[in-house]
Amino acid sequence: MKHLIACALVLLCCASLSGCWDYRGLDEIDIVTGIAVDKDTSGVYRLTIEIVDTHGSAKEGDLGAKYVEAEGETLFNAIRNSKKRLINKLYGGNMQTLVISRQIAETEGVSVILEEMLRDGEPRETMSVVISQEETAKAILLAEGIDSKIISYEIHDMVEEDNRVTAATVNMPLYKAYNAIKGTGNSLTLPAVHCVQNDDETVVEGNGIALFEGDKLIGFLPSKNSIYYLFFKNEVKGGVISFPVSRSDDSVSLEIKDCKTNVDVSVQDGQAFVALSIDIKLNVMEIKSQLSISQASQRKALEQQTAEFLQTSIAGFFKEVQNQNKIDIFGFGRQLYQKTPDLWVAIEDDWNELFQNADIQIKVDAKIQSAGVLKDY
Amino acid sequence: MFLGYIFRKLSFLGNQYALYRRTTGPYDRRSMEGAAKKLDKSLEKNLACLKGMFSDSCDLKIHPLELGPDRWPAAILFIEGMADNNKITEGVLRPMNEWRPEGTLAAGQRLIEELAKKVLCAGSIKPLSSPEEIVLECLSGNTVVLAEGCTSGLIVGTKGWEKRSVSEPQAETVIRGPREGFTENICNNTALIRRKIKSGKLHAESLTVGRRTQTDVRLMYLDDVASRQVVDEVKKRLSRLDVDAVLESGYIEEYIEDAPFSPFSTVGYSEKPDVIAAQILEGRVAILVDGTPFVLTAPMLFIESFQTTEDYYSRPLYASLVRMLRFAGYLITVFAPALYIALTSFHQEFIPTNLLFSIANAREGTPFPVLLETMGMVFAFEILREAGIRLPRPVGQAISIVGALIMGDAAVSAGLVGAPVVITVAITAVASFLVPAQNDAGSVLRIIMMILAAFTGWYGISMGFLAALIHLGSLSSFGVPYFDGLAWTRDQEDTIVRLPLWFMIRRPKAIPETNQIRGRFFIPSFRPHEALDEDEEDADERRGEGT
Repeated sequence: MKHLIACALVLLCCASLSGCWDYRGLDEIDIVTGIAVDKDTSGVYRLTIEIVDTHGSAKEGDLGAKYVEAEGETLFNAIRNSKKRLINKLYGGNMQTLVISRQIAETEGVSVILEEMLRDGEPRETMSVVISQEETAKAILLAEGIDSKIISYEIHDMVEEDNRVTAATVNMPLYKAYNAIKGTGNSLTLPAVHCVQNDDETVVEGNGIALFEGDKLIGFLPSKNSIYYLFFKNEVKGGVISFPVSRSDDSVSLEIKDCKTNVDVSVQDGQAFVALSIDIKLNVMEIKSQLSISQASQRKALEQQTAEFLQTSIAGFFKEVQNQNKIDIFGFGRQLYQKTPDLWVAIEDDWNELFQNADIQIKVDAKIQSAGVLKDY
Repeated sequence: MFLGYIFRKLSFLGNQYALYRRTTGPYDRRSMEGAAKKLDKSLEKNLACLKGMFSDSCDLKIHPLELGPDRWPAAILFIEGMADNNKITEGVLRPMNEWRPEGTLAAGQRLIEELAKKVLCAGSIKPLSSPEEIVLECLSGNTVVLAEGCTSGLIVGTKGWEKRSVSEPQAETVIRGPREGFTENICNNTALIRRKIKSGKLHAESLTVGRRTQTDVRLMYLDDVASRQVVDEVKKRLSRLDVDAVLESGYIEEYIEDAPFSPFSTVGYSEKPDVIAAQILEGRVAILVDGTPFVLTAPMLFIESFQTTEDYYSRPLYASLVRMLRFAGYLITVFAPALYIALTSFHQEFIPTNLLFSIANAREGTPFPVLLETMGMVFAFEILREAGIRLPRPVGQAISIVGALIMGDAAVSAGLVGAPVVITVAITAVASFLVPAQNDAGSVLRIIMMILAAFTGWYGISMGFLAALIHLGSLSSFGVPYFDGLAWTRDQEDTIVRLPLWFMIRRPKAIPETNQIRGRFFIPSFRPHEALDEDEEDADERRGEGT
């Protein structure tokens, strides 16, 4: 009991010791919600900073956003230059999204930008970092939101939700992204977004995963493949699996309720092995054939088919990555480094080759829990 | 320079304090000048002497009489309004007029004795020969009978003046519980307490305090429960009191409290007999002062402010809930404005995003910095509260409507203050009424916290909170640690939660007392049939214990 109280007190102290020690009234700051980073051909950073429009009445719907543009030779310069156009100081404590243009990610890498954001004490470390698939990152910020006028918040929430509900992208906060660049054997992946037309408005949509080698963009995973990537990362929390049932063209849709995966990477005699075991629980949501899953035999069969489908698709996906991307996007190296540091030191340089020739063994344990809220089907 | 000024001020106060501490021993009560030591034989001389001692006041009534057939000169003296006219007529005047003594009148001491034994009709009659004492008795409403040739007078108990009857106290209202409150009459007040505790061990002691007001002060405590040290300490401090006047118990409180410079009061008070009875039963000493319905109790604990009588009259579960609410309310009333200031000017990242937006939106365009804005609103609230108390009741209502509704709303819509400030100050104000006993301290702490928050943010608040805790921990009231019950892990049955009454078998350990056990532990039976038998056994045992 005493220890508990002591712990609670220590935690309480933490609350009182955080925060910046400078007086700055709420009316003297512009609350930054998101920043889009572009770089033009002359090598000048062009920032689009989204700030909350606190004028007007909060009662009539939510608050709008305003945009400040700034340019500078370096990112920090550009941020400081934005002050020339503003009365108030920019405040980044509630910033939620950082959009980086594809060009920057491809040519000079993202680590400088991420590092700048972390070096500045103010921006939130849990903000989402996304890669724009449009011409510029600015285009993403200037899109319209469906739920809120502040697009940065919408992107942040969307990425988080997408990761949880559809397993279509990764959720990569700033600090994790930076860790992924700096950590040994890790590889960075970021959510990718693009603009689509929706009811005459241009809105932002998540579109798969951006893959990096080091901190440089090397390609994208389409969103339909994202889930297979997430299986390897044990980050599948939801999503849908659809596949045709054998002996007919009818398909089933299964909703993932719970999923646990375990990856084991090992290297023996110059050959890498990846053992992936998936423990997945599903609900039947849509079914076109005359299957009755209340019957044990048919349910078993469906479970069997699901497992087979997952095995083949994941194996195919893995091959594709080995052949096309040619690098370890899963961060297997990290596991090797943690498990057998000595071995990792020896094979670190050849790791990509080893990865390309790695064997994979997939074990799927699929369980169909129910047929939604229906009883007999 | 400024620091030097403060230092000098403080050292001056320190000297005064030391002076106050050094003055010991009772003051000389017999300080009336120009008074004779004893009564004279001549009635005329005596009357003149007493008249002089009353400085020829017009409300001193002297009624000359002639006793018996011999027309022996006598007189009665009383103060108009202090003595009951009926009692004087029936008990003094009529018997003396109708008295037909057998034979000749005996002069001197015999006459006085005869009057006392055969003639006068009153509850208390006693002879007194010292003019000062006679004056004192007269001033407290008794009637003095003087006769020619007698060197002593008779004091007849005829006290009786207009007084307020027992009514519901204004400051402490209850939903469940006794509604009677103390009055300004000290005899009445002691009787009210005695009616609650019908025990011979309930000891009452009388003192007189105040050189000019000669105010009646009574101590009441349970002889076999209250600790000797505390009682002696209270008496010692009361005896040190050397003041002109005591008009209210607040005077005494200020002179006997442990920490005169602290915002926290270390002497408790109440207007309700049941509260005082409970305090006495826990081993405290009650100090009753004539002329005020507020009775002091000592020693006082910090936790007392959070306990109300209704906690014990309602069921424990709900009582505990309300108790916790009161703690939360006190924290809110002390810290809410400070937190608002700290969060909006230092720690914006602590505020949930959407809330931050609406606060920023409300702050947009308000002309003052947040400290000034909040201070102004707190100040306005204190003004309204003070105005509401002092004004006649019908006007007070109007004031609070004007102040609360119109001013607050208009200030927000005119853009002078933001709505969040109004909300914060409003919740602060409402929460301050949850713990009325610590309201003064709360108001002071609130302002200190606000200033700390405005300069150093949350860091300042935590430092202030720590300082307040350390201060509370260092206080003591009549030798009892003030913060006991909250700071230690003992005596927990009646702090944050209120355990059932049958669980609290001991009196609080914090209050030193000689008799710890208050009852016997038993769980009320929930088996109806067995309950009957057990009750009988219990009753038998209790009878056995009593004899």
